[in-house]
Amino acid sequence: MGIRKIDYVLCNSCEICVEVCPMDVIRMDEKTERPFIKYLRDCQSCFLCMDDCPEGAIYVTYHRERRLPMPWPSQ
Amino acid sequence: MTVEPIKTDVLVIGGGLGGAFAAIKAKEAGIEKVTLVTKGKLGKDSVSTFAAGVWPGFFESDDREAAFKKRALSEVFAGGIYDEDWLNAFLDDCYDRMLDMENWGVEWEKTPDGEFERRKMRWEIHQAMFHGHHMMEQMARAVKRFGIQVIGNTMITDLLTERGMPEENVIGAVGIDIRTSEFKVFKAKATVIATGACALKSRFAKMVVGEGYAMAYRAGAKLGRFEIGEILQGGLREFDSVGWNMFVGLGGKWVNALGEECLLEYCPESGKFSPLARVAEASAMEVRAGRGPIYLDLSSYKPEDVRKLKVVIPLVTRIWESAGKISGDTIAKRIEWVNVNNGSIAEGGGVMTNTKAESSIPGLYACGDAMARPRHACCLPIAAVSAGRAGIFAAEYVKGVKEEVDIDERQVGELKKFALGPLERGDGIEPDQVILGVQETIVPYDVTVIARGDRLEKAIKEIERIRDEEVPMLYASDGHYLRVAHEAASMVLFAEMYLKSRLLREESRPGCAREDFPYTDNINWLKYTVLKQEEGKIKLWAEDVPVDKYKVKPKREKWLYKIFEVATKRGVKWG
Repeated sequence: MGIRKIDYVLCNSCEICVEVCPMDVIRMDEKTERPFIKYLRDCQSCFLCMDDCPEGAIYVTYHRERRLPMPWPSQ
Repeated sequence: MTVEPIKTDVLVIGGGLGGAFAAIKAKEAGIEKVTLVTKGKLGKDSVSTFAAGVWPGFFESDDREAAFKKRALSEVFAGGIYDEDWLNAFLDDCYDRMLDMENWGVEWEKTPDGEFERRKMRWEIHQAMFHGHHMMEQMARAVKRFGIQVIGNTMITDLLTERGMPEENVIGAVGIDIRTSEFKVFKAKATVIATGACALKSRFAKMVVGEGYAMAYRAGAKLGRFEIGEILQGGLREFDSVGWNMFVGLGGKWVNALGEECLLEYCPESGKFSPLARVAEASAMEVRAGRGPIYLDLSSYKPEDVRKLKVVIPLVTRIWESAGKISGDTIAKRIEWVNVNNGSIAEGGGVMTNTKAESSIPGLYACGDAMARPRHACCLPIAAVSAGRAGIFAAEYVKGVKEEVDIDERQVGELKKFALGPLERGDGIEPDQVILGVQETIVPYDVTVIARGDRLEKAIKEIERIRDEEVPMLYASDGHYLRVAHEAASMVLFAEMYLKSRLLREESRPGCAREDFPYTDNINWLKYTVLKQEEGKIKLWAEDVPVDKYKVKPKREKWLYKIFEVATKRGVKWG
């Protein structure tokens, strides 16, 4: 699930989220000049974008976006 | 030349604590042009950014002799496998690197009288604490203040060598812009690999995938020590998290489903402060006996402990809050713990170096998780120490380079074809298929936590199948997926190096337990594994640790590895 939302009412298009994402998940749309979630599958739910967003416009969830195999099954 | 190279004196590949230190130290040593290349934005795109806020270092006021003996001989480390030169280098430099960080603006937790606040944590080391991801923000600012050229959004894929020949002097590197897919060429007098570990795309470390190992391997460098380390680390079933040192240091403990703190039995030397490799092995045994799941028990936590977590690991507490496990200054009483395999993070294999951080190839240096770390020094302190040395000695090397060597255009052409290959293929396998294949092969506990020869062989066969059938078919639709495709391929190579090294080591010790060789064997196995590429394949061998020349000598003995001894007592079947 990872990052789920960029709230365009709050977003000021500062591009910080695009820059800080270590996994290159967010890109800018040249036409609208707004960031958008382009590569959701690579989100690692690290919360950096949410933490660095000056407008509180980003919502991230704790759910892993990619399935991660476990060392043993659920007991 | 079709691509104009970016020229520099020292090229640093990687933007974590190691990369920052190597670049700054080279600059401090008087090198005019230092260039740091990183995959995203410096300060935000490394495992150091997500480090768990703790510093298992050595302090000037600590007892050096006691620290040396413990790190050299204790089973909490590697029970006698150690590197005397590197251990001395570590003890010499560690505190100074910490002070460097403080001088450059890194904030540490301090006592009311201004001393570094330290708490007993993993390995029973009293660790200092910094403020999570802010540490790398402060290091990134320092890199800029020193006038280092930083090139972001760029993934280095291979090294350039003189005349394009393997094992010849390294004279630069090539890579791709992950936004535009542009192919880039870097010409450098010395190159430092600071690309971090291969973390198998687990937890907040999905950006470190072993591409530094891959590029060094293809250039003909020696790598090694892949099987030794804390490769089996911890995690949570429900979501990704780091911070085990902190969680335990503040009073957490591991318990099985019956509520037994049985790790005190499995790891009597250090109890709950045991290395995570031992914790993972003990947990696997309890699960095998039907006493799983394993929990991280935080029932002793007080509000001030939760507040401390928020200062030292702020991003981690964010995810715990999102999952409803932290609310205000209260925390869940317990949470299910599993040993998510974190590859070679913090300890483990990499490029073999001497204490000048020189690899086996002139002009090539390695540091931090990218280098083969001695088992007795780990995590951020060894990254800082080794990277400091990489910067200093790369600078010294550059000053001795008299003539500029031309880049071999044939090599550039071949490496360009390789770098852009997945993009130009037009169709094929998406990287996720390969990534999941590696994880499914390597993560099950009976492959890598409690290993056995037959299971390792089966895993190796599967990795070789992925290598031969899937990697050549990797397809990328743009620069982003070109990055992920190369990351997936690097993971496959790492998995092969790791599993083959595990199979070669026919004994058991922390992080490399084997049911078919359950003894810690200091008679035959005071050795490191080493490998290099030969005729396109991994050539792997074991080299003696020269303990007979060391002042502190491990005893030449053989004993049943504690995990197996305790498992028998606790009625767990193994063999």
